[in-house]
Amino acid sequence: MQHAPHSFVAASLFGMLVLSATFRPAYGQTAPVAEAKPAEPVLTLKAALVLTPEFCPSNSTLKSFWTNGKTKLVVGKDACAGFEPALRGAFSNLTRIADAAAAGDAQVVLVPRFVDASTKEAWGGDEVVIFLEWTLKDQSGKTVWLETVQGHAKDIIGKKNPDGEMVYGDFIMVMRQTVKDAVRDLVRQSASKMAASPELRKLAQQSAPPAAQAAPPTQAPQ
Amino acid sequence: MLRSNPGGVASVLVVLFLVQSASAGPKFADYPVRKASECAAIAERAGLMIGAQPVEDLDEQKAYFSTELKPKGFVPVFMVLENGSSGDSFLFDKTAIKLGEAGLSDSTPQTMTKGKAAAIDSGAIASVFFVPLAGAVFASIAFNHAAAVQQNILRREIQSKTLSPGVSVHGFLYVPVPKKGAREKIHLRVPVTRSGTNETLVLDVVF
Repeated sequence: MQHAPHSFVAASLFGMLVLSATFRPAYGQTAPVAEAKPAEPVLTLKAALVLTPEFCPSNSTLKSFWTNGKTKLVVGKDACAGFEPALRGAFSNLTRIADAAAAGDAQVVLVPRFVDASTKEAWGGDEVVIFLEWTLKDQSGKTVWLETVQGHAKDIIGKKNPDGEMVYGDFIMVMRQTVKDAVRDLVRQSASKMAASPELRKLAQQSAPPAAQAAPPTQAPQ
Repeated sequence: MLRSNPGGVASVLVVLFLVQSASAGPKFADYPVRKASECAAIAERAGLMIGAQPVEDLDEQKAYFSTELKPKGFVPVFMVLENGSSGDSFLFDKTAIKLGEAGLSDSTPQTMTKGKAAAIDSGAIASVFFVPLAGAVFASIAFNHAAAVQQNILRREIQSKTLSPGVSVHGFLYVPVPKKGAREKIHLRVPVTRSGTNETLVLDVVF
């Protein structure tokens, strides 16, 4: 009989721990990721960004023991909204098109493709990783640049945000926000990697009129 | 109340420890990145060097991936590509890597000789198919912390990349092998395209 209250205390503590690990409390926000803001376009190229009707609504379905292929990360919508403004900072001229065949006189055609995504639910915070592959082709249709970009985000639930406020949230809300932040990271890295690419700089120099070719290249954003 | 019963306190502490341990997740050791020239199988062409190093030891697989991949039908192969040329950029597309049994029973896995390369070119490879991506490994992983193990496998996978002069790329390929018994020699055929051209170089490694 004497053991009953102690067992109750232990069971309650255990229950609270399990609940706190499984359903972490209320309001979600994730670590902010800096936006890509190149000071000026670094690639003097007329670019066509191909965002197909299939790409923009694309989801990534996770396959694991727990999710059993039922968890979907909505990645395409935010990527489509973010790429155009971010890449305008990298190219002197950027047009969004829905089909590569409509590239017209674009000097470079930008084609994104989602490769994979993964989430990790951990004690220290959920992590989301998204892989996207860029294929950039020149006017003749030859590939000049191929790159895999990795977007990463980790939720900061139970920790302080940059404003010093404690962050709380339900699991679904936090996961959605973490995915959004991973996509934002993906967008930022895409613009930054393109701007820094020696192959694209070379293409820009080759495509420039003779007078412009003599000018020194602009620095890539850091 | 707990003060009057040390056993109760101990059980709470044990429970706390168990919950913390269960939630902490698996640990993944860092794989020691090596140069292409230090790998078990290497090939070189036009200033481009490729190295392949299979991780066959089950203890090593456990350390780097927190699971044994061989009983699941895969061997992780560390791949590194280095562009040592002074002016050419190359496009490495991981989805274009092909796999086949070498059919070269007495071949030395260190380097491909011209004779061996010619044998492969002439169709000596028994079967050729594309190397599966990390997602194919996931189906075989179903246990607690599976998501963490899967994410680690994915993040360590080699990715497509433009190799500018002096640039390298490295990561793992997960090559299917028999779950039991010794494997056949593995032949990886890695096509690499010169940037802005249709010129494709093929590098073969056998191990």
